[in-house]
Formats: sequence, C-alpha cells, structure tokens
Amino acid sequence: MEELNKYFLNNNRRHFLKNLGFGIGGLALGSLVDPFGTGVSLQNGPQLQAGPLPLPHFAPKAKRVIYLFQSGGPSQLDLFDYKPYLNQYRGTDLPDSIRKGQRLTGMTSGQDRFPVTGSIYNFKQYGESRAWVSDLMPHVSKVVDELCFVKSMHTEAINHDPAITFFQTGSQLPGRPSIGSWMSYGLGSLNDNLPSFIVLLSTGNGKPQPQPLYSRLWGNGFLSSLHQGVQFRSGKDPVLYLQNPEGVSKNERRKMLDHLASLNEAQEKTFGDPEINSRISNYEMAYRMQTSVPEVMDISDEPDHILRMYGKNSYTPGTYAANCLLARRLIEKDVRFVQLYHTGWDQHDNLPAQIKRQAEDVDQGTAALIMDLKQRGLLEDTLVIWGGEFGRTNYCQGRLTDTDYGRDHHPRSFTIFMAGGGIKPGFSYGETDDFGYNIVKDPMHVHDLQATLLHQFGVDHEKMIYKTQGRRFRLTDVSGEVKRDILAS
Amino acid sequence: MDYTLEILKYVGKFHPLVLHLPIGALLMTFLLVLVSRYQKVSLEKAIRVGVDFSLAGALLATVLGYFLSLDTAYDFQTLKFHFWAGIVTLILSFSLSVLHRMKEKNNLFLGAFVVTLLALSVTGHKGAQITHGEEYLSTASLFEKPKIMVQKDSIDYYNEVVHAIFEDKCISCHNATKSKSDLRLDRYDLVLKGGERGSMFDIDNKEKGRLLTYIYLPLDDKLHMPPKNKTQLTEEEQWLLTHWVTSGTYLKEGSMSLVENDTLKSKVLSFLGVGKQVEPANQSDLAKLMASGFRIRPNALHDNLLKVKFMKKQLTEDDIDDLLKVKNQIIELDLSHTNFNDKMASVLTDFPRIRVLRLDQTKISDAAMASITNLSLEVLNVCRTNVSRQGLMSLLEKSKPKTIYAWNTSVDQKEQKQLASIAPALFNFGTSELFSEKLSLSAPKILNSNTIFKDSVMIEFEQPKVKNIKIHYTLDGSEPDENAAVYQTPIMLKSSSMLKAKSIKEGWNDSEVFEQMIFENKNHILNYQVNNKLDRSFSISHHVDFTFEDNQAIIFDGKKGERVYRGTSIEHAKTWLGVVEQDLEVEVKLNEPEKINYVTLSLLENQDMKTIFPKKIKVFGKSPDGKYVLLNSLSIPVQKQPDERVSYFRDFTLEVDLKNHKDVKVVAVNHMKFPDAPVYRKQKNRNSWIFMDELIFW
Repeated sequence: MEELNKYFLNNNRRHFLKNLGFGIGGLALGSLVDPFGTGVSLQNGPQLQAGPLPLPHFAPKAKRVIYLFQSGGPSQLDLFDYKPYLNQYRGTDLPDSIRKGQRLTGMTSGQDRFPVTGSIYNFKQYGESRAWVSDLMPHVSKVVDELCFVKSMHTEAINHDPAITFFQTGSQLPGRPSIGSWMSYGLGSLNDNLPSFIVLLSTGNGKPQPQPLYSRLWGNGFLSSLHQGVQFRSGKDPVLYLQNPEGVSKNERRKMLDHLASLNEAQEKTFGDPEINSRISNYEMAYRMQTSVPEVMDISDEPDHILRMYGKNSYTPGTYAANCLLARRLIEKDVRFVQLYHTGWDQHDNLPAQIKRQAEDVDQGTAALIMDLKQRGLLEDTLVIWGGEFGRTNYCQGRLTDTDYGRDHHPRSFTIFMAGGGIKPGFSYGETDDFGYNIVKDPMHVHDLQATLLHQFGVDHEKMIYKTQGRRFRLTDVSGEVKRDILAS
Repeated sequence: MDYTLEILKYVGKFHPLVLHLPIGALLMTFLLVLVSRYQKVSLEKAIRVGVDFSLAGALLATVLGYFLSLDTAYDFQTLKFHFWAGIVTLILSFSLSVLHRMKEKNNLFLGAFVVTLLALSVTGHKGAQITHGEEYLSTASLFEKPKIMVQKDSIDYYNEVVHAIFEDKCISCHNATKSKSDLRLDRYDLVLKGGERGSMFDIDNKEKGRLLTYIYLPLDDKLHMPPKNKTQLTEEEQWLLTHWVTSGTYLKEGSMSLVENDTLKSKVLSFLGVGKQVEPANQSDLAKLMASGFRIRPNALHDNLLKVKFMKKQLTEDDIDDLLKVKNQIIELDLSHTNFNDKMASVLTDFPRIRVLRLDQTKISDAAMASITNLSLEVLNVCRTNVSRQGLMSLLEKSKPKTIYAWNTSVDQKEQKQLASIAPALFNFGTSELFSEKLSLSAPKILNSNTIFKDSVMIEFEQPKVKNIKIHYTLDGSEPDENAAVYQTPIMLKSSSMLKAKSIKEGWNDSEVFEQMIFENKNHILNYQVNNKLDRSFSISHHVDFTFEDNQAIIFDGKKGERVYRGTSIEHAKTWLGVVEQDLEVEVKLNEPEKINYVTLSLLENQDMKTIFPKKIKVFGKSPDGKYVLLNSLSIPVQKQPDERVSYFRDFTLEVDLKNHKDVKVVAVNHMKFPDAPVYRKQKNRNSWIFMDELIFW
C-alpha cells in the first residue's frame, strides 16, 4: 500500500512541478498532496537526517557496532559463569525444583538421568573488577576491566535457527530485518563508499560439522535492499562479482552504469517500484566499492606488533582473528555495523576437547580487538558485543565420565559480554542460581538487549517503526526494556 | 454531618454522564425534523417522542448539574455562565415539546429548534471549559515554534526542578515497579509520604531530614544516595534539593516567584539550561561544508548540535573558515587522517561547545596543543602524531579533558609512566605490547595445483600475508635455513625434486618447513591393471552416492587429484580412485625399469569421508619364473592427532630396485576397519576406504 501511495504522490508532484509547470500554484498543491513530508522531501536545505526517521531521538553514546556472534551456543558454565556447586555435586541429578518443567530438545528429552556437571576447567578472578573467567580464555581474562558481563541473558527459542533469527531480528520466524539492517535504515551510513552493514564469517575448529549459517540472518527483510548486510569473503574476491569483467575498463564501467541508470530511471517513472531506486543505488555503491573494498581488505599496511597482538591467525584470511582485525579496519572507515559470525560452539558431546579448540579460535582475537579499538580511541563510540544464541545446560548430555561430558541447549540463562559504546566497563549484570540454571537477579531478555543497544545509538526502540503489510514493525516487537544499570554514567 | 447534601453531591457526579442524553437526542430529533420537512415523509410521531425525551434528559441533566455545583470544589463564578445557559436550554427544550403539540407550529417550531441547538452548544462549550480548562481548544500552540525561554519569573519548583532531578538520578530505583525501601519518588504525594524508614523530611529540624542526610553522607556509606555505583548528584543539584527542603518549599506543590538577581534564580536558570539552547546552524553553511567533504550528523533531534567529520584527506584554509561558521554548533569534530597542521590548529580555540576532538594521524605537533584551550573538551585523540610530553603538559594547563588518546606519539615509555602517575585514568598510551608473544610464521604455500610435470615446470609461492618475509628453499632434500636460497621469482624445475621451504623474518619464529615432492612424469608405464572390483558405492554426502567404476586411468593421468572433502562434488571426487573392504592392488608393465629408483603413492586421509592411509604399502616385482617377490615395503603408523575435519594429502615414497622387473605389483594394505584409537572414535568399527590419486614411478 505504501508503495502505491508513494507512486501516486510521486506522480502528482511530477505532474504539477515538471510537466505542466504550474509554478507557485503547483508548488502549493505539491505540498498539499504531501503535507507532512511522508514522501520525498521538498526542502531546499541539506538533509542532515541520513535515514527516513527523525533520529537520533536523543544524544547517542555510540556510532558503530561490532557484533561478535558466537554461533552454536557457547557453554557459559565452562567460560564465564562460575558454579563451584556443580563441581561439588557432580553426577547428581538435576532436581525438578530447579528444572521446573523446562522443555528440553529432542536430543536430551529421552535421557532418564540428568546428572549435573561443573566445568573441568579452572576459574580464576581477574582484574580490578574481579571477574571470574575460566582458563579457556587467557587473553580475554586480561581485559576483563573493559568488559560488561551479562550473566542473565535469556531467550525464548531452544534451537539454533529460531534462536539466532530471534537474536538478529527480534522474531523467531524468518522475514524480519536484521539489527544491522534496522540501524542502516534508521541511522543511515557514515561512509558513502562502503555498505553500512558488513558481515564476516569464520568456521570454528571446535566442532567437525558446525551448524550452517544462511544469508537471511543478515537480510533486510521488508526494508529496502540497500540495508542488506554485505558479506565480505576471505580470498581473492572479498565481494563476489564486484570487480569488472576482464577487458572492461573503469571508464567503460562508468559509462555502462550511467546508461543503465537512465534506463532504470525511465523504468521507475513508469512503474514506480521503489526497489528500482534501491537497485540504482546498489550499482553505484558497488562501483565505489571497487576501490574501497580492496583497500580495506589489504592488511599489508598493518605493522607487525598489531598482527602479533591479534595472534597467529591474524594473517590467515578467513579465520576469526583475521576477521577481528578486518572488523577494526572497517570500523576505522566508519562502517556502521560489522557482524562477525563464528560457528562451532555447539558442544553436545566431547565438550572439554572441542571447547578448548573453539575458545582458542576466539580468545586472542576478541581481546586484541577490544584493546586495539581502545588504544585508537575508537572504543569510546564503538559497541562490541560477544555472545551466542543461547547457553548450555548444567546437566550432561550423553554419558558423563571423569574427563568427558556434553551439554544441550539452554535458553533460560547464559552469558554474553559487551565493551565500549557507553556500556559500563568492569561490571557484571545479573546472576544465576547455584545450579547455573535459572536467573535469580536482573534478567535480560533478547529484546532488552536490542532495546539497550538501540538506546546507545540515540534511538528509542519504541519509536523506530516500519509499517508494512498493514501493521507496524519494531526490532523489539512489542516488548524490550532499556537496562539502564549497564550504562556507563 | 449533613448526609443529604453529601448524597446529593454524589448523585451530582453523574451530571457528565447524563448531559449527553439531551445533546444526542436533540440533534437526532432535529435530523428527523429536517428529513420529514424536505423529503416529505411524516415522522411526526418520532419527532414527538424525540422532543419529549430531550426534555426529560435536559431536566435530569440540569438537576444533576445543580447538585454537582453544590460541591465547594467549584467556584460559582466560573460556572455561572454554564449554569444559566443550562437553564435556558432546559426552558427552550420545554418550549419545543409545547410547540410540537400546537397546531400552527411549523416555522415557529423549526426556529425554536435552531435557537435551542445554539443554546445547547453554548452550554456544552462552557461546561467543557470547566472540566478540560479554557486552553483545551486553543489553536495558539499549533503553529507556534517551541519557545526558548529566557525570561523566567516564576517556577513550579517541585515539577520543574525536584522532579527533574529525581527523574534523572533516583526514579530508576524508586518507582511503581521497583520501589527500593518502599520509597517512591515519582509522585509528589508519595515523596511526602516517605518509605519504610518513615518520612524523608523533618519539619522541626529541616537539615536533619532523611533526604538531606542521605545525599550528604560519605560516598562509602551504605545509606548514601544515590548508591556508590550510580550516577551521583551534582553540587548544583544538591544545592537545589537542599534549598527545596530548608526553605520549606517542599510543603506545597505549585508555582512560586523568582526574585531578580537572586542566587536561587541563577541556580535554577542554570539548572534548566536557559540560555544554553543553541541556535540552529545556517542551512547554506552546512550545504557548503557538505559539498567540500565534511560529513555532518545531528547530535540529537532538537538540540541543534552537530557532529562533524572531514571525509577527505586534504583540508584547505577555506574549509577551516567554513567550519568556523558553525563553530557554535559543533560538539564533535573529527579531522583525523588529514593534513591538518599546527597552523590550522590555531582556530581550535574558537569552538565553544566542542566535547570530542579527533586529530589522530594528522600533521600536528606540540604547537597545536597550545591552541586547545576549550574548557568543554572531554575527549582528545592525538594518536600517531608528533605530539610530545611538553605538548600534553601545556594542554593540561588550559583545558581539562577526561580522556586523552596518545598512542604512537613522541612520548617515550619513561614519560608515559611519569604522565600516567599524574593522572592515571586520563592517558591512553596503547596496549600493543599486551599480547606480544613471539609468533610463528605460517609455512609457505605454492600456487601450483599439480605437482607432476612433463619437461619443465615453474614453481610459484603464494604471496605471504606478513610483510618482508623471506622464503628460503632447497631442492635437494636438505633442511632449508638462512643460508638456503631465497625465493624471488618462480623456480624453474626440469627434473623430479624435493622442494623444502620455510618463511623467516626477524622478530618471528621460523615457520614450519613446507615439503612437496615435485615429480617429472617420464612415461614409464606401458600397461596397467587395477585388480580391484570397483563396484562399491561411495557416499560423498547424505544423499549422493557413486562408484569408482571405469575410473582406473585416473592414477596414471599425470595429474594430482582435486582437494576433496565430504560434500565435495562428484567430479572432484572422481579425480581419485577409492577401494573399500579390500587392499588396493595395481599391476604395471614398465618401460626402462632400470632408470627407476622410486615409487610414490599419493594418498588421502579424511575421517569425515571415512578414508584413511593404508596400514602398509608393498611393492612386488615379477621374477622370471612368473612369481611376484617382495621388493620393498613401508609400514604407515596411524596418525597421532589427526583433525577429524581436515583432509590430509600425502605422498608415500619407497625406494625400489627394478633392474630385472618389467612387471611390478603395488599393494596398499587396507586397515579394513578404522583402527581402535581414541582419535578415530567416531568412525570406530566402520569400513575404511583407501583413496589414491596417483601412482608414480621415477
């Protein structure tokens, strides 16, 4: 419907302003047709508003996000949420009074016993904030005073696809825009030469065949395709089909694009499909990216001490550490939303061996990224989020032996951490019970996290709305509360 | 107590309900009158019922209205007009009832009806003004721009000052849903009521009330409010709260006047931010800046402040002049990665509201630091510039930033420590050395996909990702070290060679050695035969199976197989030859066997594909009596720590003396089942495959 309206509005204005040249009368009529400026603005002054919404609602603390998504569901009980009680009572069954009829996945619902188990890894306290971190994260433990742990995250979904979709779009069902798309739509781009939402993928070494990822996780949903996440690959062609075909020079490309744009504009006049405009912009963006992308992807100008900081994988393209380094380079170029996905955190069995490799993948890169942003003064206004789609159970999936155990999906409580972007550093929010099963203090729902994230960008999550298919949509759907306790004063 | 009066007043409260009856009824009846008159239908009966019902409604509404007016909450002066208008409306509707019963009525009735409706409208309007206030329908605010109040003679102290402070600092813990200590600060009456410890005020000794006591307690005291980890009250806010209590203003809500040139007035004005509001920047100035490469973003929706960044590399003096036109609006200025220099820096002092200033990677030095005198500055970034200790010290004399980023500046480590001791939280000199363990370089890789060649081949190494790496290599099988040849251009090979290479760089650990046998294909094979039945199907992924039938030639095609893995395409998998449940057995007829010294099998191990290196390789030669004799064998130990996901491609070479053997048989002995080792626990008891992509005699 909105498209139709826009079409008629456009036509009306064109009619009056251009073709018939009604002059002042036409102008007056033009603004009568669109008195509140819902269509294209007629203002003469420069448009400071990058997006279509009057944003920011209030002064923002952050400008950019790096979301280090740990796909698969990292075991909070082996990394950050220290539960000595579980070690003490290792092997005893999870009491019903704790489980409270919580639904289980098909992978453990058939088990007749639910023996709880603590971590076989040791925990120690670090930093001035005395945060508990296990031995699996030796580098992250050095930077805990920059981090804000949220130990009381909880979600509604219990399986990977709906849970990741929920985190990324605020809905368990596919079809809504990803957070990055919402932010691109609402806040606009900070750099015209790069997409405002960029995605980098890496495969974890923990699990032989990790859960797959799919491009709709960074999809634009019902928003214009301009706001879609753009995946940068490792290797020769970071963005597929971006370079000119062999034998086509930059000039020829320019001419071709100009001609194509005029054809598209003619088409747009006839049909008024807004996606045609998006397509024209996408072509132009791709043209600019032909120079900006190779520049940002080439790490040969990084000094050795920076490579050393990110660790041995920093110069192996496609690894998590290399992607962390790239994320920093993209943030320096003012990309609004950089999303990393690291797969392989799904330790149903053989957890002790798998999670060690998995933690090794991410530990140094994550810590280095945070400290590198900090020393460049970028952490001030860059929000870094590290976390998965849910946590893992306190009871063992499969057979519990002295050296081996597995953990199933656990949506009721898990841990994520954040840094920078006006979030309180050296802080821990929320608590779980002695079993590490239920939240006993300050719960943080996925929508709360999203609301808090938007808040840091000066956006009232209840006011960033897109109307389509006859209803109004928000990232936080119909809930979400800004958790002010984790905001730095 | 006069209960009758109270009851009447109570009944009167239904006046707003009942009054809508005559309004609706009169309008409906008037519609019926019009319809009957102009459409020539007789609706007289309905109209009769209508006017009578209206009269009844009007009577009831008037009576109830009178009862309501008995309540002293209403000043008779304000409702006088409504009262009399109501009476008039009642009389007029009575007249309608009468007129409708009279014979000669038509025009008079219609006229009276119109007058009644007018009276009704006036009554209704006046009544609504009593409930909603006179400003309710005022259109003045519709077209008015939000006014910036400079003059302020009176103030609603609780709502404008105290509530604003509470809202900002206290209400997050003391509200309807979260009421710490049972105390709520979101409503005036509840503020007065206090919490579980009692009232916050002490009327006799105002300074000793809980509110003031708690906000002045030492920060570490448990009762200090707001709590230690929350945002604290500013001195100004403490002063304003103290004044509110000690002056007794807290006792009542409502407006009070402000005396000119009074401390209170100046504090209140400064708190309310009067006069702080910034004028919006000139549109044409902004357009000009944007055209010359500045990115401009609003700070927040209505504060007119701007965040500005220069997106190009070369700033000019004109750009700086243009920038000065919006100096009052700029709250954040980012000139990083430009040619901004000490000379241009002299303008920095002119930005009165600047909070964040980014000058990293510019041409500035200490001279620029002297120009930064902005008291509003909170964050300064001078990373990767020539600023030194002197510059930072002179900066601190004139300005009081909260954070300075000075990584990679001319401040040496000793000076860094000294500066950090002055203000520990102020300086950030970087943390590059935090995780600076010595790292190993990754082993070099070659770009050639096929390591078998005819005549000659150019071997080319991949460009290393780390700068200034030297790749040292050998071709004779010896271990490469710093003395070995350095790779510069592709290496030309004309005979089979063992290529070994490693990456070396100062400050890094040497990489592991890269090893690759490069084979020359000399066409020794005259004829061959694979003795295996190749009809077993191989499952490359969940739903895709195929067999290696008719695939024998692949091991002599002079090409290495593709890099395969589970889920790879059939075309790639078919560059290999696989057997299961049997040993791989190949018989070959050779040409010039005396020139052959080695036989090499190129094999694959990948647990996901259920493929493992053979247990043993045996090479037999046919003796003149037609029997095969064992010439050499090689036992292959099970891999120690294979990664279950990785494909291992490896060449196994056996030395052979084939002088008298034109016919040779090569056997790769299969494990048959996966070995019972922990690393293979997933494949335990499964049939194992042997994969070979090439058999080379050289």
